[in-house]
Amino acid sequence: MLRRIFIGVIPAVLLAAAGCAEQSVGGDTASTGQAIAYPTKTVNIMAPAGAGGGWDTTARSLQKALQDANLLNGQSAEVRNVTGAAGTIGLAELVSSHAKNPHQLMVTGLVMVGGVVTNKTPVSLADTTPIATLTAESEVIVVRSDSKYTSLKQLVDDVKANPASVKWGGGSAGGTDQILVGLLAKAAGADAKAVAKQYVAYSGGGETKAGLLSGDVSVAVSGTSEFADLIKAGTVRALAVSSAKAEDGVPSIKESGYDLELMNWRGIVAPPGITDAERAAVIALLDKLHASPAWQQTLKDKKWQDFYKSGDAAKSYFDSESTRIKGVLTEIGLG
Amino acid sequence: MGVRIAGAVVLAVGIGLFVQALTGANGSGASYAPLLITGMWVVVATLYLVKHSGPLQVRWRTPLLLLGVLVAYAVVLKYTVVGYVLATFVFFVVAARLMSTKPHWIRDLSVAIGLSLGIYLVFTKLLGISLPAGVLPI
Amino acid sequence: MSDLLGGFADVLTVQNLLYAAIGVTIGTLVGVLPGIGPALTIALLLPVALKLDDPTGTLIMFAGIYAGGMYGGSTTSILLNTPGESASVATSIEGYQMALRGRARAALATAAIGSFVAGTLSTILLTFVANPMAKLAVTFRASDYFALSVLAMVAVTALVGSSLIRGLMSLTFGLFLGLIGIDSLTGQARFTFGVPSLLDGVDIVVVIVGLFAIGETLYIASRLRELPSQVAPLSKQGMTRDDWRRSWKPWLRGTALGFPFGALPSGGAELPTFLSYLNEKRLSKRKEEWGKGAIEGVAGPEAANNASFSGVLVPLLTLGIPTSATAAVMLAAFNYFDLSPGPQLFEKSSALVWALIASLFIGNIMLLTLNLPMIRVWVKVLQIPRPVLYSGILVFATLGVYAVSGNIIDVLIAYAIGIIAMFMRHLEFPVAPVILGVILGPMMETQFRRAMLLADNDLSVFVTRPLTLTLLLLAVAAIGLPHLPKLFKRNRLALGEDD
Repeated sequence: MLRRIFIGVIPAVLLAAAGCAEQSVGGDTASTGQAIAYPTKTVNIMAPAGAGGGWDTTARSLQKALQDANLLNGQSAEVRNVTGAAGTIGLAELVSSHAKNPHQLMVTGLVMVGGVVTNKTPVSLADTTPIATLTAESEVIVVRSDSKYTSLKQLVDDVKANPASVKWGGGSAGGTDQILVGLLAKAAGADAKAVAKQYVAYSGGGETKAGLLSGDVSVAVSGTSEFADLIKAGTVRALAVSSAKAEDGVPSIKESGYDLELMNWRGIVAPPGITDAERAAVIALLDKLHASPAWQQTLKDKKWQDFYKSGDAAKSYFDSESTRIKGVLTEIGLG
Repeated sequence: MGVRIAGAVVLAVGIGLFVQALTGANGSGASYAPLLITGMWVVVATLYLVKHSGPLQVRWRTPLLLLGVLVAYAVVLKYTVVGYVLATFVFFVVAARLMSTKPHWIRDLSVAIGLSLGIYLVFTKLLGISLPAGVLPI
Repeated sequence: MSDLLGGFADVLTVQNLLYAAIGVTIGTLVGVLPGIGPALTIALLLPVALKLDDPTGTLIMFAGIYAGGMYGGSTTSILLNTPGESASVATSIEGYQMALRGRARAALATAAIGSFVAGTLSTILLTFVANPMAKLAVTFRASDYFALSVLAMVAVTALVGSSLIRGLMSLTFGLFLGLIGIDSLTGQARFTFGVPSLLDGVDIVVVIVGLFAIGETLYIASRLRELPSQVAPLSKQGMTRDDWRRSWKPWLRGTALGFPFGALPSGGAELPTFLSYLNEKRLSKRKEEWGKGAIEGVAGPEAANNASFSGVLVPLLTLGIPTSATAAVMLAAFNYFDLSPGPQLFEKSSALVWALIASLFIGNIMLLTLNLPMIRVWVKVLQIPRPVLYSGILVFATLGVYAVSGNIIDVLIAYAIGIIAMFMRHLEFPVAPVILGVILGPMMETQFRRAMLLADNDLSVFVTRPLTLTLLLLAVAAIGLPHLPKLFKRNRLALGEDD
């Protein structure tokens, strides 16, 4: 296999070198302001979590796609992991140690927005330079197939009547799953704090599954892909997904009558203090990446939903998400 | 006597942690385990202090120097531009010298070069885990 | 059965055997490094492997990496008392003592053969009982897990060693380390002292690297003048007839413990290794050898460790529930191959599943054939001059923590635990209970509070569920049983005196 690695790597390096020669001659014109050459050094992508996790996979796929699509002016991209506290350790490092460095990027996501609130970290996403959102996954609300609930409305009606009658299971406290439960309670006009008290945190999707199947909890909330196999097998029943529209025949929360949409998105930010021209160049790079066949293939291979917003659209999305998440977490007593 | 001092330190730390658990207690489910465990710490440490005594002879010099070199190594890795290979090379030579009675420069220097370069290449090239490249042109 | 044979037919090609050999070799090498286990290696090699576009080959290689990683981990535990992950801590207790007495080759051999026996038997179990086993495993509820952890805690307190007070102090230290970080149920920070890096808690890898690799090195450094110049006497002899006789039962019993524990969604791979260690100690007829290198104490835990992996595959393949880091990475690999685990996996994507199971067999055989001859080479590690060896251990220990987390605070915590561990060794505090505290403490607390939350704070949940009650009664019995014979004896004696 080592041979294969080398056989794979060497042409890629040669291609990248060849690609750079072409690109640097042409130069790029960014949409706003004066175009500058970017990147001029190795691009360092920080994955603010351990190797193998979602953010790490995003960072490494991004690295690979940037290189495969020859977008780096012959420079290379590196991934570095900084683990801890829902990515807020990495966020603090980005803000404090890498300010003004446009060659340092960081993967971020909804989980970090929640982490900033629950960990009460002094820095937040507002301290970074937003670049783009890349992918997103919806959440799903499921019950066992022998459950009495067949629609989200029945479940929510019970919750409204007596919050203690329904035990919710999902990922760790203050994470995406509990945020969804809080937002749903708010949207339905239930007592969000009382509902959140009935939330039982598990250490991940796998443990949540076990908790639902064993009968510990009556409802589970998790990423849609996490439960896809059990839904297909008929072991559990999906009541609703958190995206705007129905997915695979499962109605969205919105269609079920509650004005709520929540995507577990992942994106890219740059450190604070980079110039407008640098920001424009990084955004242009991501725009090109998004349009490249390499990235589209990555999305297909990894079964990721395209959720691309860049520049000002990304910035306003980050802002609105931060406000909404902070609001609901404070309301359920975690902020 | 030495064992008594160690016991007293352990007890003092236990009391400090117990006090912190007490002040942090807010009636939520998360407060009980800290109280229980730090309380157990205080009880067991008291028993240890009462029941165990005797001399404790530790040759401090080498382990403390090693610890100092280790901390310096970690700080250099993280906060300077020296880079993995050079930092590891220097660390290895110094640590090996600290633990030997007489110098073995050729042995230590050659192992240090092989080890630091080998690790760097395997990690960055094969595993894709980035280590700080630093000032060396690798 | 014909399915399995079909699996073998798919797997047994020259190319696949080569993949298996490469996997086992890579796995053994990374398993030797502290902190860098099979999970991380597979995660990092996944993108490369996908380029091969050969699902069978990839799975075979991963199975090889896993088997090799498990074995590599036990190698350093035995030779240097530096286990790299929690599942090899139990192995290090007797294994290192064997190495110190010139029996390293026998210890490594019983570990390798035990891994092979356990790996093979548990894979057979996986083949035939995966579905019923999974159904049983998911009936475990929070209260059952709590009762199970109480039972485990009671059982392993026997590990505290000769001095109860010192053992309890070590256990308490471990329990405290387990408390640090954000409480998963409420999101409250506990004992983080304002350090953001502590919010996630102290990673078990950091604790193990500190307690063993760093602690052991500092301890050695403090005793350099008293130690003989050789790290350990030359080990010439492999397993003797007597060693075989003493090993085969622990291999089987270890397998019997490891497989079901691995299958429990919140069981964990470490517990069966410790339970196997204790079980062997309890059953041993040569109690005086324990603590001085009893081969049963290596054979049992190693078998339990390997058997638990096939156990982990039970909920993974049948329900898509990953219960260990490695399993989570395997799940990611399955998804790439459109192999979605779940109740119908065995019927639907059967060819690949059988190929996977066949590759587990191949991986185990390859491990044995490659590593038995390698033992001669491994024991040469003990011939390395001490300063070089231990400086190297420090380099790898730092690398294991730093490269994985990129977080300097983790490295400093490992050093701090290392200096504490040095004092623990001088003051004769046992170190294994610290690991148990870190593992069992959070499990007991979380499951207890989950059970209470689910039962609306009604304590009766612990006596109304038959499974919970049984496990708790077993725990009570485990406390009482060792004293029972004494009571009877005393009574009889008393009666005798009356006569």
